[in-house]
Amino acid sequence: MNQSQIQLKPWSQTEDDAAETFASAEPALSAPTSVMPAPVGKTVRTFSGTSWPGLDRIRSIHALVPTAAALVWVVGAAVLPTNQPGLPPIQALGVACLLACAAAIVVTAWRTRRRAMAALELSIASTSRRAAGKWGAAALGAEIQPLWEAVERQTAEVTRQIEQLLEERKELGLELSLIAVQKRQAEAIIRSMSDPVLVTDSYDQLVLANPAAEELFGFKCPDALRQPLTVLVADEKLVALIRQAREADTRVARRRTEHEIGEQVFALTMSPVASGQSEDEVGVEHHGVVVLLRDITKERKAARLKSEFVAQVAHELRTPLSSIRAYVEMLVDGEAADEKTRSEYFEIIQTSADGLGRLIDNMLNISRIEAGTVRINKEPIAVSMVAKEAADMMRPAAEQKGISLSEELTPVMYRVLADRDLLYQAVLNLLSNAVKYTPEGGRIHLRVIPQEESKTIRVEVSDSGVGIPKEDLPRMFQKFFRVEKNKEMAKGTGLGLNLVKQIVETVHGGELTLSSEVGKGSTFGMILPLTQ
Amino acid sequence: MTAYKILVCDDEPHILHVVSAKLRNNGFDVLTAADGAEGYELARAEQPHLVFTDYQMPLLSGLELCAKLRGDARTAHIPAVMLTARGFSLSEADLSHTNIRKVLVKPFSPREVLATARQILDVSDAPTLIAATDIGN
Repeated sequence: MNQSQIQLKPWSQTEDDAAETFASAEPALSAPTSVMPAPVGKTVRTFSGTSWPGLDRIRSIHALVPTAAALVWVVGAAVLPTNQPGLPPIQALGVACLLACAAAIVVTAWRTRRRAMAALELSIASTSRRAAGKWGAAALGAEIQPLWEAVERQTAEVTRQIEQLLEERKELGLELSLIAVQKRQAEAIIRSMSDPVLVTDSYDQLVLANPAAEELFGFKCPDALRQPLTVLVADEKLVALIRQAREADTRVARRRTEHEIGEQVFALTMSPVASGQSEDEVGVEHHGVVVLLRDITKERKAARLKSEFVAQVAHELRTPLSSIRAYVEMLVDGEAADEKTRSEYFEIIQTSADGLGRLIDNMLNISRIEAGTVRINKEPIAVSMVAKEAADMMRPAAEQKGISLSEELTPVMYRVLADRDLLYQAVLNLLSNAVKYTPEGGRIHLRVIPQEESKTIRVEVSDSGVGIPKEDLPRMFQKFFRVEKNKEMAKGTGLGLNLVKQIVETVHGGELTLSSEVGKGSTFGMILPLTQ
Repeated sequence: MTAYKILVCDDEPHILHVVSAKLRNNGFDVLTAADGAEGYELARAEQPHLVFTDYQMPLLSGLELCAKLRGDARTAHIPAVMLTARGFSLSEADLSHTNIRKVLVKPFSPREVLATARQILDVSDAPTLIAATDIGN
């Protein structure tokens, strides 16, 4: 059952009630009309003011008018869309009719009462005269009694009807304002949505759009309403999709698809909805479409970056694996003729296997830090102590290349709240890079510099190495990035500096600095907050 | 056996080393280049009979190198073999602008490299021409 039928029901009841009321009042009608005498000029106040004899004559006509008015009003409430503020026109007309009829009843009743009063007065006067002369006072009351009772009943009935209609009007008014509030709430919810929403009718005209949709398509709402979508939306493909969704036979089914608008990718959800006018004269169901557009540009980009990353990882893993497989096969095939070549091949296999292991370790560390699953055990750590341990660890490798590794540590034990192992790993990675990319006979300088003003401490690794081209500086901490020209200097996974970045920035809330000059060397710095 | 001249281009020293060793051990003359630009210059100067090239290389990618060789009158006749870890990203359209006869996907075996060289240069008892369907395998 649709909305209009539901709302009509209270009216039908009211109509029945009214009919019953008139039917029950019917037997009383004949008596007063038959005895109604002609009016006479003089008025005597014998009866109470509420008794209106003679009203029954015109009652049936007057009773129909408010009934018709109420019908117009209630139908108006049911049929009209309830979104206009205040009373809708048809309903206002109904109320006006009702009030006019009520006024007409009052005026007519008043005039009738005057005539009835005059008639009664005449009747009483003549009866009194006759009674005085012939029958006596008792005969007077018996003659008037039925008329009096009928008038009383009718008056009460009309009053009751008026009160009932006024009550119903009040209730409908309340219902209307409640519906208006609910509608405003629903609209506020739709407007507050960050995803664009469009609602179209059965003619592909705009019925509703939220600010996100207005911004996306560049129209403004009060003006755009009831405009054809083809005018509002420049995107022909989208308009066609919405039309197809509306024309689709399956009314319940939602359509989901992806659609690109400019640089953005949207997930479209189009749900056909009944537009209110249930069926037209040939029985065709009309419905519009609610279109929800969800911006999935970021998700798409993330998915693309992820697959690129996987491809990159696969490449990085395959390269050492290729070497291992190739050299093992060479040894198996006896391609290494002498002992020197054989041991050279074994060494390459070992180096490649080590590199593969390091790559996997670094990748796991980075992904654990990124996912927040790494176990971090923060405690106050003396930065100089950790820096010295890392320097001692790297010293043999530096000495092997004839590189001098000097330290400039703070005598005071400045402490940071840090994970000892991760901090050690970060300093070690910076020192290891310095050793890798500094030619033989170079210098590496490790400094720990407290910065009292900013309550931070700076760990700095400077080298006299090959340096980094200016254009590569912003990419140095990216995963798998390696300076092309420097690749041949050392083996690397392209993950070491990214791990430093994760440890310093993500785990410890610190900051990284980098300055470099090609041919002169580089300085990497990490700034960590001191414990209070 | 005729000393066929083969150019091998790869920025991975280990791969360059192992491919060269396998081919040299089996009687080929081998030239090596560590990037695409160097490979192009060597090919123009030395006129090798076959080029093995990596896909991902600095300066000039393997695909760019092969397209350049095909476009140059002096090197247009030289067949090429692509060694790649990303064979999936090569389309027919990419290959159509080159003389690439075969794509070997890493991790490949040195035996495969040798067999491919022999096949293309027709120095074994094996049949001669490489069918077009071999491309992209």
